[in-house]
Amino acid sequence: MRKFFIIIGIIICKIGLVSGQNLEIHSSLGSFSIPNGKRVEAPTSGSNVNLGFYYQLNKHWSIGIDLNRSSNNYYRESMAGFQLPLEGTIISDHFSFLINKKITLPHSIILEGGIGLGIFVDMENYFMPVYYDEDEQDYRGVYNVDEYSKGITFPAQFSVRKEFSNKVSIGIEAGAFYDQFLNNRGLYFGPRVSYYL
Amino acid sequence: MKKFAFVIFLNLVVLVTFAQQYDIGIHTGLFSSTGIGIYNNSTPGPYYGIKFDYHLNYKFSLSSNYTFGSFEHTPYNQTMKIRENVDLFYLTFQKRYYLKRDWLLAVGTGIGYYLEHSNEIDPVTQITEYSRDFIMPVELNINKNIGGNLFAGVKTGFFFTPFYSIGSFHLGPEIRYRF
Repeated sequence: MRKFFIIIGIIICKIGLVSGQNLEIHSSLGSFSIPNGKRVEAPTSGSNVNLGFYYQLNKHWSIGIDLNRSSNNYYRESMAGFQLPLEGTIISDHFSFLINKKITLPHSIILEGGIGLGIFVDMENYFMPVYYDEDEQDYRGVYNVDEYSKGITFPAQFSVRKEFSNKVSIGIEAGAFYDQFLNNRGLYFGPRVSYYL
Repeated sequence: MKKFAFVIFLNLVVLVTFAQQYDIGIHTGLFSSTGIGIYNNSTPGPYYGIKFDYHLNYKFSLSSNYTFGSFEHTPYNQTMKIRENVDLFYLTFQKRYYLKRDWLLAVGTGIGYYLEHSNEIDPVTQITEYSRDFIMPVELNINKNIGGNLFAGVKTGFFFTPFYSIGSFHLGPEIRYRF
């Protein structure tokens, strides 16, 4: 009798583990590109890391948050007349809430895409000329400045991935961020791994 | 021994029947200064926050939060009050306790950062001064089902930066919707 209970218990437990997987944690690494001249001058292609937690509402819809950090270098050509380093770095954080639509194709290939709303925090690190000298008509010093800005962002993301044994999926992910005037803030692209908790 | 097996079996059933859940909640209340002893003569202000809670299983949940708060302080040798605005982004991992009368208590800690600024402008660079630092939140919330998918409760907690500052005590009501 005891064995019977234990076996039944274990079986039910297993069924529960298989059917109750609604939470998906995923991570992607890749490149981040900023349109030239919009936010900063002459940005180079940078790196991006993405961490997300999605809840599967049902077979077709999922909601959740995405945390994104990207880093790009840029070059301030307009300041070329001054005697200072022209390189700058922009580090952006995006915190977004997304609503996604899921489509399952044969061979357990999943297409998932969504849009949402979020907040960005930008940190620009660059050199700035300071202490203007009226007599010599020139600046007397250089400051290394951390300039912060924050605002609202509209994220969009898309991923294609293959699922293995209902637990792990591997694929690629691409996404874009738009600001409140729907100007493009950046695009990211890279491989993605996800795991059902 | 039979009873023992039966108890184990019941426990398993409870674990199994727990479907993973997702909550979206909003909370508001009073928010104190981000550094006790750092800000002179500070007075608390309001905060507003949104949270996304993932209930992993019967015992644990993962919560991601955004909170916007503000407080006022008076610097030494000055009389004018300065308002500081704080944005907090943090993730916490929580343990859930089931109390009497359907109350649910969740206690947790995690990591995050805050971004703080006042309207002061740096005199040299003419840029608004922001400061950003790592924080570890300690959070406690208690809530109860008030019908349907709605839950109401109280959230409190504080943030500290190891090992030099402690602050941002906050307390207020929260309401959440369970998917």
